[in-house]
Amino acid sequence: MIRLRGITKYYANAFVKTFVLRNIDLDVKEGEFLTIMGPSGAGKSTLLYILGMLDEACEGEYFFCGQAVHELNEKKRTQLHQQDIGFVFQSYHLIDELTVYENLETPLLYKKVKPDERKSLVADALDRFHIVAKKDLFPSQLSGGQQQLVAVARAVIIQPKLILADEPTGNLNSQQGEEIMELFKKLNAKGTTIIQVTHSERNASYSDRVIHLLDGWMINGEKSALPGEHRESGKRKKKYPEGT
Amino acid sequence: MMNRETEDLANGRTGPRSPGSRLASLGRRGYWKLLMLKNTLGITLRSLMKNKGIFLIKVFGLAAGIACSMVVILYVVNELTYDTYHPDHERIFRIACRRVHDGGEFTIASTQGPLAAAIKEQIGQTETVARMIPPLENAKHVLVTRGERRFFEKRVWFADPDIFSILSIPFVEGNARDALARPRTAVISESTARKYFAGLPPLGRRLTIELDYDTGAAVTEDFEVTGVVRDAPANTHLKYDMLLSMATLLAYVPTLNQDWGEYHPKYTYVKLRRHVKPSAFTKLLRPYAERIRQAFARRAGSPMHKLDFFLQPLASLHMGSNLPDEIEPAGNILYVYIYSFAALLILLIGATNFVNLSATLSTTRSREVGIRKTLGGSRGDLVWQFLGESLVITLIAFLAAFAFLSLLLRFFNRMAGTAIDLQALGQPLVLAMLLVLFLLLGISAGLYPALVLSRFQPVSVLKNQATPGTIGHAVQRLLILGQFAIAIFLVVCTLVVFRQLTFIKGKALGFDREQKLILEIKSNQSYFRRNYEAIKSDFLKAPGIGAASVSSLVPGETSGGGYSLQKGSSFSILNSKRLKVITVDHDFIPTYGIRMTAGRAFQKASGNDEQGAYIVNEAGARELGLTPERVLGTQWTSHYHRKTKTIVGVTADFHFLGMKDEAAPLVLDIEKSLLRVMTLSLDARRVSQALAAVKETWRRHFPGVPFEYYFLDEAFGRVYQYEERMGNLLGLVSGLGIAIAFLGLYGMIAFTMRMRRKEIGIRRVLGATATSIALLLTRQFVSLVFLAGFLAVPLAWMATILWLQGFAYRIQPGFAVFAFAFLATFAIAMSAVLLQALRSARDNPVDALRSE
Ligand SMILES: Nc1ncnc2c1ncn2[C@@H]1O[C@H](COP(=O)(O)OP(=O)(O)O)[C@@H](O)[C@H]1O
Ligand SMILES: [Mg+2]
Repeated sequence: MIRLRGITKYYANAFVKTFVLRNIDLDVKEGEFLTIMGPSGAGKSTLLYILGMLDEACEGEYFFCGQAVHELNEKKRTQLHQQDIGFVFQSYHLIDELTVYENLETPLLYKKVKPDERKSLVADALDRFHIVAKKDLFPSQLSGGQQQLVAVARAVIIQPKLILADEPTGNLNSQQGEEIMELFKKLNAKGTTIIQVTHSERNASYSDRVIHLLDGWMINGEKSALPGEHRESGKRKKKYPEGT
Repeated sequence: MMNRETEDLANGRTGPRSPGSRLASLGRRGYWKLLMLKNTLGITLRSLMKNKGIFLIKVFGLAAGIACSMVVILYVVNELTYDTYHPDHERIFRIACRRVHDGGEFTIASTQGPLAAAIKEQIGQTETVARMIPPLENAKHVLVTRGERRFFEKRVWFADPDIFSILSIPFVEGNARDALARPRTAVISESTARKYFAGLPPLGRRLTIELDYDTGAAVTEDFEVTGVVRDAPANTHLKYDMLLSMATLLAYVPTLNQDWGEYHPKYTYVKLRRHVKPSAFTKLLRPYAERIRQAFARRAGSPMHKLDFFLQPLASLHMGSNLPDEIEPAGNILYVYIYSFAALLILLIGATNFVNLSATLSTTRSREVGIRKTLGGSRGDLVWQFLGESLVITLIAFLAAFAFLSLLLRFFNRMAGTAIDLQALGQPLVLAMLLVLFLLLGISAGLYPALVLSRFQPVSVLKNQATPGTIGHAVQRLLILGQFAIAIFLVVCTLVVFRQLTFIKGKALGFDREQKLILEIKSNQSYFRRNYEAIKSDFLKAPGIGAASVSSLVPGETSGGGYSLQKGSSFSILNSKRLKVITVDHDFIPTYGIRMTAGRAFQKASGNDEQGAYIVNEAGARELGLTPERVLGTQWTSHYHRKTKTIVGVTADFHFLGMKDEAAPLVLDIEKSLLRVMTLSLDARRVSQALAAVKETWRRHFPGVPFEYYFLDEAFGRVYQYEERMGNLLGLVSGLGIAIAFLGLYGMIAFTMRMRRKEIGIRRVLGATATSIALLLTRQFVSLVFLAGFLAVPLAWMATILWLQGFAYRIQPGFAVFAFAFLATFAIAMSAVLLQALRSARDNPVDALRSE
């Protein structure tokens, strides 16, 4: 599903190039649950943003489901990511001025989902995440755990093939964190590919594979090198339609 | 607990989607934009409410600009649509007339009485012809009475009934066919009906109307009201309150339809048949021009070389025709430009606030932009979102503008002398222009903030890196610079206009205009002219009246009236000199305190001044080609009464039309037939007593004529009304402009301060004084306003010098004016900065730091 070759990212000023990612090769299979670990400043978030097409690599090739992302223009990339990718962040990043309901609805609007369908999808998500009672509240009126719940709901509402999570439990207590990880696990079991960044070994244990970054270099993970074939074929229960 | 949720989640349904729906949804992009707008409307309003002050400033600036623009749109539409509401106005023309004689060319808007019938009976080519004739000798003051209701009417016409099939004058009661068929019938406007009948049905009732047919004495008769018509709209050159039947006029002037040499103005309107070329029709009129030429030659004994007619398209009259006998003062395209320009400036200043404040505030929206982009929003989506927001704010500003539109319109009407009402807003043209204004403003003001905002990159925003809010700074500074340059420009112009006005108002006019009570005799003029000496002496008996004089006009009144004077004892137009004339009595010169430079004033003692003496002013002497000393004793014959009189005195020049121009060449003559106004000098200490007595005396001599008076010094101010309009307009525009610019700057700085609250707190903790912080924060604005001054001052200097060229006596706008204007604007701008800087510097720094 994802294929990175020689991805390099640096920030240059007049005198020096500061390398953030160096020559990263990475393959992620559909349905895989991958963890990226590494010390602060190692380039984890940068890698995640490049994978999410929010940022561009300076060098290297990036194929997403066979498409050469590094050759696409911004418009095409936006299309691709609004169809297939959901984000979860450490600091939730809900829109403060929108209610829970409106926050959930926003990605569907960008995806141009029809109003009836949109309503039922939002109602569904509210129901599934047990936040129906909160739908008219603003983010500031929720606890951190609840906010992250809404953020996850917002990420999965577009039924993405890939969820990218940047330290999703970083601001949560351990019980809240556990709940989020359980959620990821179930989603993954139903076929959604997940890539998360975390500092917690415990969180990492939920995943199939761990890779380590250090100063922009990738150090191959020790945990199960590649996902088993059963995962490959166990795949997603439903086929997500392309486009729409 | 999580289990059930995740289970549900993983089983989440997928909506039914067909492959074709992608195309369909692409085809309905507009629809999605609308949906998106609905979604973002909430956020718009909520984020506006977060910064209420700035929101109000934005809306106020825009609303002020919009309200000004609305008024100007109404004005411009009114000016440019004059008489276009008449059906087939392209085929309707007024027949004007060009006369050439030795004295030069003379073009007038009126023709002779028999022309209409000649066209109808002998030429054809027209659907209809009709004449509109003002009351011959009292057109501007027709006394109309019904019981106790008694008013002077100014817009009275004798009308051919066919005028109703040329001009659109809709009947509310009665009908166009019969209304003006008989003598002594009148059709009145709705408001005139209310004025005299107050709710009673007017049809069949009578009004008593005094008319002067130039037959020696005015005639007072009853007229039957046979029709009520809609009030004339503001955009017609031919406004009316009362239309009287032509048959009435014909009864007193039986030669009306035959006499080609009669000189009272008669306006003739034709509606040509379809496909008749105006030029071809004009050719057919030639033989009739010849008749007029001959009739004039017979009557005047002076040769007229040429006379021809031409057609003036109805819709072009207001802007395109400025003849001496024009019915209404011609429109002035210059004012259309000036007012439009003024509105544009306000709009610019207001829109600048909008752009600047939106761009400044954009930093607070950067996180939202970042999130929206990660959720799949494209840059285009975000540009639309922010454009949508600016359209919403523009809409709010429009609604606010409507709220103070009626107030502004009333002010404008008073200032510009127009009569535009709010109903004019309903015209399709006005609505279309407002829609264009709305879109133009919403988009142009929203585009820059939208581009700045949509440029935020999600990665940098979400990583909490510095937001690129600084992108806008160059543009924003440029905008502030422009705003203040406009403001300084306006202040300089305002100051110069007012200083010039004060200057010419304060300059000695050469006559005394204080404490002069003016009585105009609009009715019973023949009685007045016969008995003015007796009437005067009666008024002089009233307490507090020091002097009295009668004349044909008083200072401040414009009049085309003049004498052509021919040296010697016979008259011929060929070598005559044209001087303005004031006909006076013996007391005019002393009453007005006019100084003599040579010879003497009129004297009763000399016995024969009424028959034998002229007095000219110095300019008059020059016009006659002689020095004041040499002109004394010369004899001149006037074209008006063919009397030969001797110049007995020369007065110093006096500016009876104000100081805009050099004093006009003038001749004073004792001539009863033109007298129409009386001047009474009042004792300032006994004004009310004097007024009561004067009113009593008036009642005795003019029973039944409304007592109307005015004070000369007040009315004389009207000679500067165009300059005053200009001054008031500039005052309003620059006041408003500065207020908006000030608020914009204040808002921007207030917001910046709030953003830098922590920095200021830290500086304070480190020992910075309030002043040093204020300085730190104000430095960049100081240089901006200075630069604005350098830009604006030379432009303002050129503009004012140009404007001053129009005055014979003018100030030299010196360094002081410019320095003052600049410093005033500068002080206002700085007060915005300092107020904020001091406030935030005075805050307890610990609060600022703790709140983080
Ligand atoms: N815009 C930028 N300019 C310069 N350096 C940057 C920029 N963004 C990130 N970096 C640097 O890149 C490195 C990696 O950042 P990041 O991917 O956020 O690390 P991590 O998420 O692993 O903590 C850091 O050292 C950071 O300072
Ligand atoms: Mg990070």
